[in-house]
This record gives sequence, structure tokens and C-alpha cells, in this order.
Amino acid sequence: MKKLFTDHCSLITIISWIIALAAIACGLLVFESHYLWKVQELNLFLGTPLFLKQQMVVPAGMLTYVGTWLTQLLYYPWLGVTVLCGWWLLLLFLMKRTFAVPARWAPLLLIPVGLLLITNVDLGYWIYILKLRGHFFLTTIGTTAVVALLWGFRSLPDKYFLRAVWMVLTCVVGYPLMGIYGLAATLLMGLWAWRLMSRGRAAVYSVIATVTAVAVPLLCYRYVYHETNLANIYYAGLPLFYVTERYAQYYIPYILLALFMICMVCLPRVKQTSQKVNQSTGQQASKRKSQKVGKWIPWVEQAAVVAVVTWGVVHFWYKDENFHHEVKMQHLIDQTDWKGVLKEAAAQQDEPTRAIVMMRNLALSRLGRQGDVMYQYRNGSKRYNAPFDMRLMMVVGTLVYYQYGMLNYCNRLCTELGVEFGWRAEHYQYMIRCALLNGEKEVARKYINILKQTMFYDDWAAKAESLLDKPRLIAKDHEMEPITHMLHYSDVASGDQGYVERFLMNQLAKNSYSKDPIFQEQSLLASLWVKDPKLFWHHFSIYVSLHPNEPIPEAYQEAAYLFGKMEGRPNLDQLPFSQGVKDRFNRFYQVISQCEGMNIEDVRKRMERLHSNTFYYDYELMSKLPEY
Amino acid sequence: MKSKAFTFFIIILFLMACGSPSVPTAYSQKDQLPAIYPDYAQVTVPVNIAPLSFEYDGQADEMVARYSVEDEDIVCNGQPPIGKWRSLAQKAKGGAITVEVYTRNGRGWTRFKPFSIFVSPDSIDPYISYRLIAPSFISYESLTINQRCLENYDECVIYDNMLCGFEAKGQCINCHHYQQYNPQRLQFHARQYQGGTVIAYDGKLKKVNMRNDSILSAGVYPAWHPWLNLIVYATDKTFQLFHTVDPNKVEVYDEESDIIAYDVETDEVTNLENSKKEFEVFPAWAPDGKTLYYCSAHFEQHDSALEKNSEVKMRFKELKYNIYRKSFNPDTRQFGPRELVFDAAARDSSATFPRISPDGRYLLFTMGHYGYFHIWHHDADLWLMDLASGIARPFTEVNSPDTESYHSWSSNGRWIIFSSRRGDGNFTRPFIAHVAEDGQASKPFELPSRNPDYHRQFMRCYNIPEFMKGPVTIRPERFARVLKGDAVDVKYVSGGL
Repeated sequence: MKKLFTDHCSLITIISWIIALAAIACGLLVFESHYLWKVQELNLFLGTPLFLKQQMVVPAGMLTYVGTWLTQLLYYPWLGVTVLCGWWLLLLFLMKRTFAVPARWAPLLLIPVGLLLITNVDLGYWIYILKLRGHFFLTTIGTTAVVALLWGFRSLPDKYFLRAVWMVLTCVVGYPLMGIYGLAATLLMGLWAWRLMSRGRAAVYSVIATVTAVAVPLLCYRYVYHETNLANIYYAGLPLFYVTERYAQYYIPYILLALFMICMVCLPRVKQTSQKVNQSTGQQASKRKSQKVGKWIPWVEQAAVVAVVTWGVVHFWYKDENFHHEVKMQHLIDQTDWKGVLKEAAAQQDEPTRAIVMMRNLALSRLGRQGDVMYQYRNGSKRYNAPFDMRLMMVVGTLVYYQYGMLNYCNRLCTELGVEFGWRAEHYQYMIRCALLNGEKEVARKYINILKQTMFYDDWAAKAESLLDKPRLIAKDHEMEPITHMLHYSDVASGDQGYVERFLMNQLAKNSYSKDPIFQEQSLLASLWVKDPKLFWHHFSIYVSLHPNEPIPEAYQEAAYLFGKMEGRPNLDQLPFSQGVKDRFNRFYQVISQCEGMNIEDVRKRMERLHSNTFYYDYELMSKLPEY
Repeated sequence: MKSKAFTFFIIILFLMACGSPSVPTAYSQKDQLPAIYPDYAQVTVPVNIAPLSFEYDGQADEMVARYSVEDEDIVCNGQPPIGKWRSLAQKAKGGAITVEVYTRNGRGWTRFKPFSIFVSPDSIDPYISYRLIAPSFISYESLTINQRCLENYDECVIYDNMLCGFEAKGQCINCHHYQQYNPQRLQFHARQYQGGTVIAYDGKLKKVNMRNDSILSAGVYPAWHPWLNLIVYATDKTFQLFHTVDPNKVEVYDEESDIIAYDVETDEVTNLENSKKEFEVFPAWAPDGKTLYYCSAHFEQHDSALEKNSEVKMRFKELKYNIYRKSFNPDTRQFGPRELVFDAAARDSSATFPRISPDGRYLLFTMGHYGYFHIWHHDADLWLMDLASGIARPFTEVNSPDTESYHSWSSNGRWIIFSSRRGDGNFTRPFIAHVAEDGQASKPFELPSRNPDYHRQFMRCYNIPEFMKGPVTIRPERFARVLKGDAVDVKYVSGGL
């Protein structure tokens, strides 16, 4: 170890790496802790032989397995980030040693680390639909494996075809275990041979490398794996940024990473070093020492490299406000921190997505304030900032269905998403909750036992197990009690066509169950959402009878006043509407009458500041929001 | 050196001996059967079945099971080794294997009341195939048709939809089917991307495009004639509905369905049954090849102002399927008129999946309250009709309080395999039961797995379990190549094939 330090890593290099990695860790923990939590939730690891078997049915299965194991550590973001940065430190050491990079150029090695970081933080909504489990650690492990294999290749003596055997084995064993990283290592060896040996031998090595890298995946496709499309066999282990088309820009960090490796094996410096490796160790050490002693690292060059890497990372870091609000709100809801959700909603600057609006309204309803203040928060339906068509269903569909008590649909959506994108902790948790609430004891037990095979959800599973077949305890459970008020839908056989909010609001608005005030109020609120006066009056009259001697929330009063006016109901002004309701009505329709002929977007902007906190604004200007 | 090696060998043997379970000598006796999963107590198994491994389903620190026949026994933790199991089963042929279960809690052992596993001398077909599908409704990522050797635990993929499907270009696969248990003569459908019907016939493979303007849809539910190159299909326009509250969760119904016949050699199709007021489905040949069974529900539109689909959607619970049959002359290939076999509608029920036993005596079918997609109906049960007497009865020996659905007979007619959701109500597992000549069945047993907990962890359903006389030897990649190629278009002919 001492030798390693003295030969290859000066103290200053190590300190600079540690500082860089500490900065990355701080950045991740400060800005992305909720995102990291979400990533682990979407990449569930199960400690069962079946899980391992299921990963191993495709090339790169072992990499996926290990990557997913490590990703689960992000449950505690500090833990996952520490391991990731620790791994990157290891990678830096390994690269420096493998490619014999002099201390002067050590900061260059931050380039691959920066690229690996970008592969993790540029994803945004891709995290919901990427099918490659453990991708957060996978590229790091794969890259480390490539470098380690190259080190082995360089270190082997050039006799008895040992290097050739090593290269072929790298492909034959590496491809099934690591997919594209096994192929990349093989091809890099084929390239590195030109620096390590004579041209004739190098040419043979290159041919062998190319042939094995082409043939091994084909043979595996034909005889070993049956779950990989021929079109994807050479990309195994890479995330597929493909929905209806390929999004090539997300491959840029991977391509740059590959180019970096190619540069490292091609640079003349490597040749010198590799030649030295074949010399005796004593000579090697003394020569290197003499090269390095007394050399000062040129700070300008290093600073420039660090600056470029930093710029790249900051530039490609996904910074969408709504995305971050969404993941934080999901995390807070997972902790039943409804006040926290509202705090997050209050910090909203941009037009919110419907996912945010729905989670916020959910929080308001849980705190019993939806009818009073829901229009005081910003409304909207911003398109999800993803290059593909992202849907509310994918972001919070299961959460929303569950929280609104639509258990069959929650269960169905969990299953659909689990099948399509892989089973996630969230899916199991919601399916367990649904099964518990539905009294489906055996299937609940099945999912609980599966979740018990995780490192961080086993306590949750044990708690759920204590509720098995105990409806009284469920009715008292802090998290599930509110849902028990929402289980009063009448059965309808239909479909949501992927539009969760519309489906839910229509089902609620058309329901006539009135014995539970919480469910009934949601029906009333849904009638505001569907903007149907007939349904509103039905639910409003029940609401009034269920809440005698209680002040009627402003939103309901505004709706009653507006619909009453629209229908020309007599004596409307003699009913006990608050003066504010009437004043806001008059002000709103006075201003809107001046906007005739204007584009609705312009009208919205013009009236937003003073009138968006009213049902009138919602009714007139927010009725045709796009649905994603 | 020699003595060192010997010592090492002894240590290894000692460690192995310490690791292998032994029957406790001191224990307390419990006069009740042990709670085990899968429940193999008092079941009847074929002599050539894979070892029945199980786990204790209660709280225990350790379990030891002793499988014994006379003086021969296996002592293990519930997972008997294959070699010893075979020897034991062979010895118990016509008799029973006695199983004693001991559990340890802390230091004390408990011995439960022993149970028997009866070993029938009737063997079972060595292979089954099934589709593995998650209990989802729309998504079909990672669908596979697998085959499993019943004599051991070997399982492999026949075809995987991921070999052709890719993201938005997904491919659904379904309805694998064989001519008389012959793995060399099989067909399955691929839908959507690069879709078509794949037909393998003695080494030849082809992809058929069954869509034709003169028939309702491409072929769906198949029935291959026992020896002719003739496959009868149901064709249908299928829809799904999702319940907001009902425990059945989903409804699958047809807006229309017909029966067609397809000639494998000439690629000709013709309509057999296509009444607009009848929804015909699930054809099945009698083993003598002279009778075609199928199901049909009568449906008349009440409201002409409504689109048919809208009306069926509202009245799907009124769809009651009866079982019918048509005579068939294999020489002239002519079908006779339809004849009612089982009037389920008269019992306010709906009968599906008619399957005739190889000796032609029994008709096994699924019965539910309405509709035909009984796998999603918790009330669905198997029924058995004695065709000699015409008496049908619920097959109570094999039924459970939850769903029983798809079923097939073994080639010797002494075993049935069927889908059941009795475990958890959601995930279909294959169960096998012995059926005696008099139509009485034994207690069914769940398909054995090497890891007894496997089916509890596994998140997919077994769909359409079918017996086979051997494995399908065509590689999945070859099926994929055929599917990626061009399809043969069917030609419509009227008036029979």
C-alpha cells in the first residue's frame, strides 16, 4: 500500500481526489437526496436465489445484480453516496495504476468520474421508465471492471499466449456477466496490444479481440439467452434510452467514457510505461521516483481540467423544478408528512404538473383544508420535462389511486408497471396495502414475504404483517385509516385509458355514497373538478346536511354562487354567502368581460395574480388543461 | 502427506454429517397434520414425478422430514434428492410413501401426525408446457412459453416475446397448442409486432397470417384435429373492462366470436359457425376425431340505437355459455349440425373449456356464473360430465374455494393438470390430480419445485398448462427468426375444406 502511494499517488493527488469526491457527495446529498431515495425505490433488490436467477437470464445479469444491491443503499442517501464516492476513489486509483498516469495528469482522471456522475444525474424522468436495474451503480462497476481487466492484461507476462487467453476469457466470461463492458474490455485489449507488443502480434490480438467481441454475443443469443432481442445483444448492460424512438443524446457520456478509455490505451505515455512494466520492479520504481521527484503539478492545467469537468457536470445535471418537487412530495407522502407536502407546494415557482397538483390537493384533503385553500396554490398542467411523453400515471398513478381508495386500479397499475418496468418497492407496498384493505390475506402475505427479502423494507413488511387479517388495527393505523374512508365507490366496469385524474374525478363525482363525510366531500370536490352543476348541487346539498352549523368552505360557496347565477336561481343574494364570495365574483366577471376575444393563455396570465385563488378562475379559465 | 489428506477427508465427512439432518430421537407428539406448503398431505402422485419438496408453514427454527417406504427412507429438510426419491417412489408404486415431519422450536422437537403420499402406478406424460404471464392486463413485457420436465425440475423457454418485441413494438404470445401431445407439432400465436401464427410440423416451421376479410379475426383459441392437418380456431373481437371494486377485478368479453377451420397444408380457411347471435368459442376435438366440441353464448341486441359493443359491455353478465358439439366425418371433412351437450344457461351459469378424456368418456369443463374468461372469476370451478350417462357434477375432489380454470388430460387419461388460484387468489399455479376410471379424482397436488417456496416468490402465472410426450426441441431463436420473416396469407374458401 505504501508503495502504491509513493509510486503512483502523491499525497496531493489523493487529497485533490478526495476533495473532488467530497464536493460531489455534498452536491448529491444537498440537491438530490429525495431523487436518490426515489432511485433506490425504483430499483428493488431482493436477496433471494430467484432474484439472482431472474437477473442472470440476460447478458450483464451479474452486473445488474451487483448494481441493484448497491443501489438499495441509497435508501439512506448518505450511505449510498458514500459507497459510490468510495468506489470512484477506488476507480481513480485503479485507472492511475493501470494507465500509469503521472501525478501531473491525475486530475484528468476526474473526467470519467464526472461522466459517470452525469450518467446518474442527467436522467430526470427516465428513472421511471429505465428497465436496466441498478443503473445508478452499474456503469461505475462496469467501468471499474473494464479498467481492472485491462490492468490484468497489462500485468500478465507476454508469453505462453497468456494475454491472448486473458483477452478471450474476458469476452467469453465477461459478456455474460457484464455485457457491453466485457466486450469493451476485450476491444480495448485488442487496441492496447499495439502499444504493448510488436505490430504483427498486435494485429493478431486485434483480430482475435474483434472476432470474439462479435461472435460471443451472437453465440450467446443463439444458444444461451432467450430474453434478449438480437438488435440489443451488443448493448447489454447499457440503459436503453428508447421509447418510441432512440434518444441518442443520453449516450453522450457513455461515448465520451469510451473515448476516454481509448485515449488512455492509445497515448504514447502508456507505451513507455508498459514497456517499463516488463522491466524489473526495482528499476521501475527508481526510474519513476526519479521522474517525479521535485516536479510540481502545474496548477493552471489542473484547474482547467477540473473547471471543464465541473462545467460539464453542472450543465448536464437535470435541474427541472417540477421533477424535484414531485420526488420530494412522493418521499414526504411516503412518510405521511402532509404538512411537508404543503410546504413544498408553497415553494412552487413554475407552473406545476398535474402530479404536483394532485399530491398537493391530497395533502390539503388529509389536513381538512382542501375546500378552503386549494385555489390559493398555483394550478396548472405543465408538460413533464422529458423528451418522451411522460404521463401522470407513470409518476404518481399508483400513489393517487391508493390514496383515493381506488384499490383495484392501484393494484392493476402496480401490476402493469411492475411487468413493464420491473417490480419496485413502491409496487409491493401498494399491493400489500390494497390487499390488506381488501381483506386478501394470502396475496398480502405473498407480497409481504417478498418485501421481507429486502435490506431496508423488511421492517415495513413486518409492520404490514402485523395488520394481516386485523381490520380493526387497519382502521386505527395512522397511514391506512384515511384510506378506509375512501372505500365507498360503487362498482363500475370500465377503464381509465391511462388518464388517472380524469377517471378518478369522474368516478368520485358520479358516486352517491353519503354516509362518510370524508368520502362525500371528495365527491363534492370532484364535482368541482368535472365542473358539472347538476352533480355539484347533488353533492353540495348532502355536504350541507352533513356539516350543520359549520362554516362552508369558500370554494364550495363560490361554486354554489356561480352555478346559482348561471342557472338564474332566485333569491341567491339572500342566501348566506360570505361577502368575499360575492365581491370576488363581481370583480372576476367585470375583468373577464374586458378580455373578450383574447387568447385564453393571455387571459390566464392577465388574471392569474388577482383571481387565480377563486373557483371562478378555475371554472372559466382552467377547464381545458392538457392532460399528460 | 497421506495422513494429512485422510484427516482432511474425515473432517469433511464429519462436517457433512453434521450438516445433514437426522431424525430427532426425543420429541413431543402432535396429533395433527403439519402445516406444510405446498400441501402434499394425502395426495396421489405418478411414479415418475419429480420429488415433492415442501416447507413447514408455521413458526419453527428447523424442520426435518422423513420420507419412508418400508425400510428405505430419505431424511432431509423437505427437499429430497432426485435419485433417492426415484428409488423410493418406485418402491412405493401402488402404495404410499409415509412422511413424518419434525419441527424444532428452541431445543424441543415436535413430531406431527404422519401423512401419506400415494404413488399411483399410472405414469404421467414427462413434459408440460405453459405460458408464464404476470397477472397483468395490458402490459406484456417478458412473456414466455416454457416447458418443464415433470420428472425433475428442469425448465426451459420454448419462446420468449422479448426475442422479437422491443419497447413500443411489443409482442404478445399466446395459445400454445399441440396435436395429440406431440411436441413436434405445435402452434402458437404472436400478436402485434411481427405477429402471426407459428406452426411447427415435424421440423418444418412457418408463420401464417390468418387475417382475412371473410373471417372475423385471426385464429385465436385452437383445436388441432387428432390426426388430420386441420386446426379449428375460435375467432373473436375481445375487449376488457376493469372493475373499480369487484374482487374479480377484470372482465374479458367478446363482442363477436365465430369458429373457423384452417388447413395446415393448403393454408385455406373457412367459417364453421358464424351466427351474429351466437358467440362461439373454445373448440376442442374429441380424441376419436369425429366430434368437435365448443362453447357458445346466445346474445341478442335489445337496443338497436346502441352500438353492439356498448350493449355487450353493459350486459356482459348475461353472457352464459353452453357446451355444444358437431359431428365430423374425417374422410369427407364435413361437419354435422350443432347439438347441445350441456345447458349451463339453464343453471344460470356459464361453461367453458370443454376437454374430452382420451377414452372419450368424460367431459371436463370450467363453470362460472357468467362469461368465458373464468380465470378472473373467483367462483369458477371444474365440472365433470360422464358422457355415457349425460350427468354432470362439480368436480369437488379437485375444486377449491377460489378459481379453477384451464385444464387438460394426460395422454393416458389418468391425470389432469389444471390452473388454480387457490393459493392466494391472484397467481395461477398448475395442479395435477389423478382421475380413476370411474371418474373419481384424488386430492390434487401443486406442481413440485426444487425450492418449495418458489411459487410463493414467483410473480407470474402459469397459463394454459398442457401435457406433452416430450420436449419441444426447436430453439427459441429459430421461432424468432420465423416470426421476423414473412407470413403465409391464408386463403378463404367457402363450403368447407
